Amino acid sequence: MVPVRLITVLILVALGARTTIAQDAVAVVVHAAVQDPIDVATLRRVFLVRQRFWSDGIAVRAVNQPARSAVRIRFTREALGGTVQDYSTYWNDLWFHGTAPPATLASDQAVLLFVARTPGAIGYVDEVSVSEPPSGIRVALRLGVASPRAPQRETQHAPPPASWVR
Amino acid sequence: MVRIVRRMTSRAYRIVASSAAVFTLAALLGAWTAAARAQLPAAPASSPSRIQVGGYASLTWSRAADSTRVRLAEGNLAAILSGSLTSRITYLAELDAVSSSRENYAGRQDDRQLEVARLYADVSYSDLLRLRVGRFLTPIGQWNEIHAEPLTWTAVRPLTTYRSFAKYSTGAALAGQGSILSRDAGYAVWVAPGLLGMRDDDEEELEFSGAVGTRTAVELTRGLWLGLSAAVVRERRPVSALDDDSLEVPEPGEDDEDEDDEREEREGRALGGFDLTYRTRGMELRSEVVWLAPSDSRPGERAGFVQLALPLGGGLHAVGRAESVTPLAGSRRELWLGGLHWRGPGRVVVKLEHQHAGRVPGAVAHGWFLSVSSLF
Repeated sequence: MVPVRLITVLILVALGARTTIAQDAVAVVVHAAVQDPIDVATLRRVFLVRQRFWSDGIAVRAVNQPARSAVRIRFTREALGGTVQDYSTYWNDLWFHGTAPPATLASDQAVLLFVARTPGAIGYVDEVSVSEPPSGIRVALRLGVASPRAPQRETQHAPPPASWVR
Repeated sequence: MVRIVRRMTSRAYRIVASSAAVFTLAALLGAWTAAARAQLPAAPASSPSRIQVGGYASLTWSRAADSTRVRLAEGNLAAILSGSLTSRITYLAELDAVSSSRENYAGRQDDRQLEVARLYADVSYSDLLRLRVGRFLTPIGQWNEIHAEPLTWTAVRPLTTYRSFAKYSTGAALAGQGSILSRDAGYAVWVAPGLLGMRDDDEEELEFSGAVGTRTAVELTRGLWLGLSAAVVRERRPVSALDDDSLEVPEPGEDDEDEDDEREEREGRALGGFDLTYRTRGMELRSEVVWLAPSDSRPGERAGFVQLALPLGGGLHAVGRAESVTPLAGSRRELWLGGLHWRGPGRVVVKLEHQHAGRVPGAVAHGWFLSVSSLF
């Protein structure tokens, strides 16, 4: 009897954990016309403004969420490594060269609207916001989805020097 | 007549200097309050934008090792205007107003009131190919490309980062960046033909009268970046920069009477550079080395430094640097620097440091330095 209860509790705990993970996952969305494969390395280049064009020549239009939002914090940790604050020096250095960070939009809905309407756009939202993706949007990658076979990524990733042949 | 012109220049200099100091103070205060409201990372504007206005300001005080007097060594205010005309064409202009210079290089002491530091346009064909035309920061080493006071670890700039080459080049550059085996990499090929007809005869800084060079940088492994620079340069520098005395720091107001002391090289010389940056957990280790080859008529020059910044918490870092410089003519100098670097609210940075000149005390800028600066 006890083993059955124990197993039941473990299953419920596991389901609860799975639910939590699903709520925390981040969906990377791109304009439907963007056909480039999106991986974490690409995200890093795009959101650090090191890649400015897609392979078809269309300019990248990346958008962020507010710095203190949960989805931004999660995205920064998963895609860039580290915290939002870790990159303040990087952006300051880049600003010296006239380059601003990706624009900030206030909500998932604003990001989805912008990405759907803007060629070359890329953004990220909480995964629950794209359970039914609106037209004009492609979900290119999901971050933070737990998988027993997925290798644990290193999260300590120092911001690169901004002075590289700017 | 010359004296009258000089007096007028001196008066204008004082006016510009006073204005720069006042504006700098105002900019610092403004930046402080504005930055306190900003989110991190502070985004001056959405991208792309047709016009973005920014800049930086700094005030630096110094007390020489052999003096008890603390003086305002420099007030600096720089305005940066940038933007995108299209998705492929961008521009940038930087105008600097400097009250006086405390840089430890005699050739930089005078006539630096107002200057166009950068003025260029970029045309991007792709991430791998970008054309830059105009006046830009010479792509040698890391420091020179990020030399603004609020962005550097120390108030005193290493001699390595400007002594052997011109900080700015006027010409064209091809540059690009991409990924090699999932590691970032970038390159630049640049040419500065030397606009002889446009140069200012009163220019006190080292200039290129002709240069062509290349730079490449690659992320070797996570947190470790390597840069290599190479160039062939013809330089024009004040004669005072050619010997041991070039490291002297004249007193404020002291004039260089030898207006004909400029010397220009007739032949190109090889210049090589190497820089390394390692970052992890808030710590940064950086090293830059520059080597200017000798020629038939001129000796060579070598310089290099190693710098370590360690986080102490609360935005405070301890910074240490060891530098060695062998000037064109003269014996090797050693410079030791230790200090604190604090990044305050927003983009305000405060630095307190002491530089010690090892072998020849008094021959280079040494003593205590305090600077307050901000990017806005």
